[in-house]
Parts: sequence; C-alpha cells; structure tokens
Amino acid sequence: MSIVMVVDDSKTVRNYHSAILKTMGMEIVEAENGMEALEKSLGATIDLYLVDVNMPIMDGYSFIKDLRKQDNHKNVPVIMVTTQAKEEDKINAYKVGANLFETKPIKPDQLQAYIDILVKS
Amino acid sequence: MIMFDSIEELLTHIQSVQLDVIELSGDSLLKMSAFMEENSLEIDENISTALQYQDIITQQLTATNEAIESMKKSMAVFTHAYKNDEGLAAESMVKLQEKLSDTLAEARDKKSRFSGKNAPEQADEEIEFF
Repeated sequence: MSIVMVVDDSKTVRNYHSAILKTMGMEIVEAENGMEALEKSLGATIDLYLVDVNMPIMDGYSFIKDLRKQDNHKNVPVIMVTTQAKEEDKINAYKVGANLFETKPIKPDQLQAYIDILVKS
Repeated sequence: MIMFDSIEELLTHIQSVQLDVIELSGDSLLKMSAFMEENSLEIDENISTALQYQDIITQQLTATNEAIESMKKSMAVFTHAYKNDEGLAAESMVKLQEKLSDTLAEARDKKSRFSGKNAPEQADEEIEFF
C-alpha cells in the first residue's frame, strides 16, 4: 500500500484529498504545515507528497526545499495543488523540486491520474 | 482625524465579518464532507469543485484582510504624524496616498494570484512532469 502525505493548513482540503486517496487504496498521513510535514517525514517512508503553497509556520516552497535535502526524500514525487495561478508560482515550485504544479480546482479523476503516474514511476 | 477613527472602526468591522465568513464556509464544508464520508458518498466533480472553491474563498478573504491591515497601519502613521506636527499634514497626506496605492496594487495582484483556475489571465495549462 502506498503512503501519501497531505500537507495543507485547510482541514477541508486535507479531507478532500484524503477522500480521493482512500478510494485509490492509499494510506494517508496528514500535516498542517511544512514544519509538521518535515518532522513527520524524518525516517518515514512516504511514496508521494501532496502539498499546498500558502501555509503558516512553513510554506510549501520551503518545505520541499528542505525535504529534498533528506537523502531518502530526494526523489519522492511531490505534487503542489494550490489556489495560486501565476506563472512565477509554478516556476518557483519547480525550482525547489516539485514534480507537478496544479491550480485549483482540480478534477478528482485528473488528480487520481497524476498520482497514479507519479507513484508508479 | 475623527473621520479616520470612523474609517478605522469600519475597516475593523469588515475584517471581523470576513473572518467569520472564512470560519463559517470552512465549517459548512467540513460538515458536508463528514456527511459524505458517513454515507459513503463519492466525491463527484461538482462536489470536488465546491470543496476547492472554499479554499479559494479563504485565500481571497485573507488577502483582503491583509490589505485592510496595511491600510489601517498607513492611516495610523498619518494620524500620528498629523497630531504631532500639523505642518507636515500635506506631506503626510501624499505619503498616505502612496501607501494606499501600493496596498491596492498588492491587493489586486493577490486577487489574481489566489483565484485558482478562475484567474483572469490563466497561466499555461500544459502539464509538465519533471
């Protein structure tokens, strides 16, 4: 069973992502911000991260940047799903090491397809 | 300066209403998602969009709250300067106007930035995997 960490300060969004991931038979770990996600990622085996951009304490960009410093998380796929729509946000995401940047709202089957591709690859 | 006090109070009221709306919209969707989970209802495209719009609403209202906070600070600086030296009033008014213009520009940028796929100028939607 694949393990996905959902990193978002909105409980609604975490619930939404978790519901979709559960239908895919995935195990879910939740974190409210980048700092909590970093702590939970230490020594953990995570197959994919679903990350928001704007979060208190530590935002999505800083989280991914720090995550990529950990040897066991250098190549773990990261999807950023965010309300931010500017091209520079997308560029920032890829610069820090995200694999995919998607703007909300994203269709459930679309998200499932991305997760499927990234986890299997 | 009494006028500024009234404006400050009005802005504080708007902030308070916006925070309540953020909380209420979050609560309503949490209740809806709990209901769906209890009844094993699948998230279709419409529900999915509704859940994600709530996040866009939150981001938008948070951004306008930040703009209001910035306006209040600029007004407080002006009021302070005016009270201490009325001779500086004209100069302070120009500075206040500049600050408010900056705040407006930033707020407009955030409106566009946090609109998700509803942004007026949609970024390139091509999917890129790295």
